[in-house]
Amino acid sequence: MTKRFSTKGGSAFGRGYFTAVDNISFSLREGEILGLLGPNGAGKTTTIQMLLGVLTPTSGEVIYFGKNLEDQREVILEQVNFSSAYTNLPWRLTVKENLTYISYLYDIKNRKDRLQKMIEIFRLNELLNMEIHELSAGEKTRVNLAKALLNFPKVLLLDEPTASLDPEAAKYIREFLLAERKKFTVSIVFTSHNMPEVEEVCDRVIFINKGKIISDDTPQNLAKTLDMSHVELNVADGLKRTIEFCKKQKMRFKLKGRYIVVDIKEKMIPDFLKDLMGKGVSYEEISIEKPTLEDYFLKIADKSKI
Amino acid sequence: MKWHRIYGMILRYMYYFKHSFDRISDTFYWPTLDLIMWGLTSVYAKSFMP
Repeated sequence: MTKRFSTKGGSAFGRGYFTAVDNISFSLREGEILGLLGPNGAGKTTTIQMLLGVLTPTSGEVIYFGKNLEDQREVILEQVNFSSAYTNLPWRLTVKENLTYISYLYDIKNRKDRLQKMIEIFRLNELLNMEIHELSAGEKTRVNLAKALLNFPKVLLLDEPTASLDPEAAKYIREFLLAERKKFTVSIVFTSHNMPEVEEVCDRVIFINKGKIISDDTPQNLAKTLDMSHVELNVADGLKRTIEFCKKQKMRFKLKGRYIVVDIKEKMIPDFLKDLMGKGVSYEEISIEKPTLEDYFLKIADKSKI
Repeated sequence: MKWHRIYGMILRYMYYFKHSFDRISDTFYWPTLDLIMWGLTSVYAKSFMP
C-alpha cells in the first residue's frame, strides 16, 4: 500500500505531495509479533493508521482474515485493537468510565469479568476514580493497554506501548504480551525505539525508511548482517599507541577515559589483540560485544541522513 | 446497527455531562434562556400586530 499526503504549495516536495508510505506490502502470521522499526518520519505510524482504517491508502488495500478492511470494516475492527503512547482517551472521564463505555463499543461476553480482569492485570485499582488528565504518562499507558486488550483482539497494533513506562512496568507488560500471545494466539504489530525490547519480544522485524521496507527478517538475522563487533579495552599502558594503531588501520573507535571501544570485524579480533601485544600495550579489562539490532538501526539511520 | 455500541456512545456523553458544567449549561440553561427570551420577544412583537 501507498499513502501520499498533499502538501501546501507543493514547492517543498516538487509535485505537491509527500509520499509517507511507498508501496509496502507485508503479512502477519497468526500469533506472530512483528516489529515495525525505523527512524522518526519513516512511515511507521502512518502504516499503523492505515491498518486501523483511520487513514485510507492512496493505493493498495489492507486485508484482515481474508476480508478487505474497506468493505468489511465493522466486522474486522471488532477483532482488532490498538494502543499508542501518543493518543489520549477522553481526558475528562475517569479511568473506570473510559473502560466502561469502551467495553460497550465492543461485543464482549462477560463484560464485567473482563473489565475486572484488565483492572487487575494492569494494576488500575487505585486509579479507577481518577480522570485521565490527572494520570502520569506511565499510568496513561497502562490504561491504554487495558483498553487495547478489552475485546480479546486477534490483531493488536501497539505504537510504542512501553514508552514512558519505568523498566519494571515495561518488563511486566512485555511478559504479559508474550503470555497473552501464547494463550490467545494474538498477532501483534509492535513499534518501539527500544531495541533490546524489540529483540526480546518480536519474532520478526520490518525496517522501514522513507516509507519503504528496507529489510524483513528476525532480529537475530538482521544483527548478523553486521559483522562489526565492539571491543572495549581498559588500557593500563599504551593508550596513545592504541589510538595511533587504530587510526593507522582506519578503524572506528570511541574513547571513554581509559577505555577505548573499537569497531572491528569479529574474525579480526585475535589479530588485533596480537598486534596490540606486539606494541607493548597492556589492558586490565576486555569485553567483546556482538552487533545488536541497535547497531543495525543506527546503520539505517546513518544512511537516511545521507 | 449495534445497540451495544449506541449505548456505549450514550454512556460516554452522559459521563461527559457529569464532569462538565459547560456541557450541562449548553444543553439545558442556554436553550431555556433562548426559549424565554425569544418567546417574550415574539409575544411583545405580536401585541403590535393589527
